[in-house]
Amino acid sequence: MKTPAGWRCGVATDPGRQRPTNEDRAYADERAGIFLIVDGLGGHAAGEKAAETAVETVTERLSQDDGPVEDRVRDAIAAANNRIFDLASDNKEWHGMACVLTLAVAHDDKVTVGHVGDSRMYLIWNGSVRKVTSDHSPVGEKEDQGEITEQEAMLHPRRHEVFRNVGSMYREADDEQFIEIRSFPFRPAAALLLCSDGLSDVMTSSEINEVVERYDGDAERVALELVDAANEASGKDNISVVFVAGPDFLGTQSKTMEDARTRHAITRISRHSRLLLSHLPWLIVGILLGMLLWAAIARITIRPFPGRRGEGDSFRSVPIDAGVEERSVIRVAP
Amino acid sequence: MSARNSENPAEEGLNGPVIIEELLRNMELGQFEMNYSVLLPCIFSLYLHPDDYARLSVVLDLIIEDSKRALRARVSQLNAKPSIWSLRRRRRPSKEYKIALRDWVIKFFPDAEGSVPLGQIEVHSDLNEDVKPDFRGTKTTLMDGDSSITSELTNGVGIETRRAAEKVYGEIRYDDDSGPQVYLVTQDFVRIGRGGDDLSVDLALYTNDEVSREQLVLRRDPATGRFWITDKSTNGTCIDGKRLKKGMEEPLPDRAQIGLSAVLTLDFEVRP
Repeated sequence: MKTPAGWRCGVATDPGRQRPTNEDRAYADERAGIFLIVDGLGGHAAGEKAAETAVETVTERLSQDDGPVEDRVRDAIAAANNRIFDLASDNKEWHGMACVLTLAVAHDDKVTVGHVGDSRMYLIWNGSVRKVTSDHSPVGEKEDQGEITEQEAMLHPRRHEVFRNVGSMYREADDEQFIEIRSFPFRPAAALLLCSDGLSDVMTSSEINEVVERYDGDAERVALELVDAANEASGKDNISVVFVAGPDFLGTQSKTMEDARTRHAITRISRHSRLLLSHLPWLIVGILLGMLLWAAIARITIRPFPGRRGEGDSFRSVPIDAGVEERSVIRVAP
Repeated sequence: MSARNSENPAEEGLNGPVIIEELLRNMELGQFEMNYSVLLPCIFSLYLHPDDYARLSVVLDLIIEDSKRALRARVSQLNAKPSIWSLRRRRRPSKEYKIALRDWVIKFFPDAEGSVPLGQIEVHSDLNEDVKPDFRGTKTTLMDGDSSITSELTNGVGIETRRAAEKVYGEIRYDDDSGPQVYLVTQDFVRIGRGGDDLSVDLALYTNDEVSREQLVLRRDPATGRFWITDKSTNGTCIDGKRLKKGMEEPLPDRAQIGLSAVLTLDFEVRP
């Protein structure tokens, strides 16, 4: 579906191959430019309840509030946090539930991201993918600081520990150790990818990039293909993806791009000039040889007309009418 | 990918040149062609008859050393630039022959299945190591120093780290329109710029048109570990405030601030 702003959005969520329930929630409202991934913690019903509460509260608050986008994002996430905390405090079955989430709000030509935990947002730009959210985890911090590589982080035994979440304690919206906020330009040729750790724990950013760069206008397909790839790789956790392509974004490996490249490759002028340049020395040598050969042949075969030189003056050619009869007298004027 | 081939060597038995020749043959058979490069197998498992294996076991390390030299030489030969006189070859864009890992991995094994006769050798090769991490563990939340388990354990006992992570030669810290980023240099060539649909760079900066699509290239000399920089931009590149001459490769200090078109600064640092 193409939105008024020209974003195209695809959403997919899947329990994976080993979990009985899906504690992830993925939400997208293209018209409002709201994109959200929530990964519930707490096991089974509690995790699902936390994730559902987060989606409900965040979307509700965003639609009500006015003011700067960053403030609205902070308020919405804080409201979700406190709602989950209240529910968990009041109901024994939901005790200890919480979630991690990444919320992106696209507005004008910008995107504002509010983020807590180890779900992620990637930015895809000119054939490369980069993570734009920090992982609020001991391993993620090391990775973000460049102390360990992505591959080392993926293999780390403490990979799944997070030290920030939404819902396990009461929070204020402006608590420094709570919501990470970032705003940056959303260029028309860029794309965003929000995902839960069910995707990012089993696929490296370059593997994710391979799928995304096949985007040819069908954002839904990209989201589904990413979920399939994560299931193929492991499928050990719930997997959720929200893919948002800018109006001018086109995968570098897409069919459209390949066709365009083919058309660009056959430009007659450049081909002709290249041919001419590469053959120019031979062409000159050929012409010179030809001239020499012609000169040699001319020297041997072409000779002047034999005799009659000087006699020609005594003859004069006379035009004769076609109608002259036999034996008639032809008068030649002196 | 696995290429598998056997060779019947000379009557007198298995020797070094036969083994190396077979490795080279296998490498060329197992090549995987892509758009801009050709990937060659770099992991070889060589199976020998147990008697051959016992006989050669004392010199296997030396054979491996020589084999690597021969493989490197063959790759250089494949990558050699065609002569300027050979017009036919010049018109065809030459692809770079390369391997996925940093070095060749060659291992000898005695054939336990009895399928390799005396004097023969069987070579199995792979393009790259199969690194599919299998994860395990619990999802826990660390709050105020206490960690609590909030999701169940998934199966899988123990992590198999088959390969040490990539070697990091350097790091580049920058702050473009997407925020602060760290790029780890793990390869000998790094192309940096804005990139484009038809121009892939290794580090695509999220920034405006002031920065060129391909702004600069970093090259690492594997022999010395030193980095070199070449400016390729329209609006210029500076190192610690000094403007570079376009197209000229210059040495890059181990720690440097690289200014791009007066828009963005990259903090470069070599890793020991």
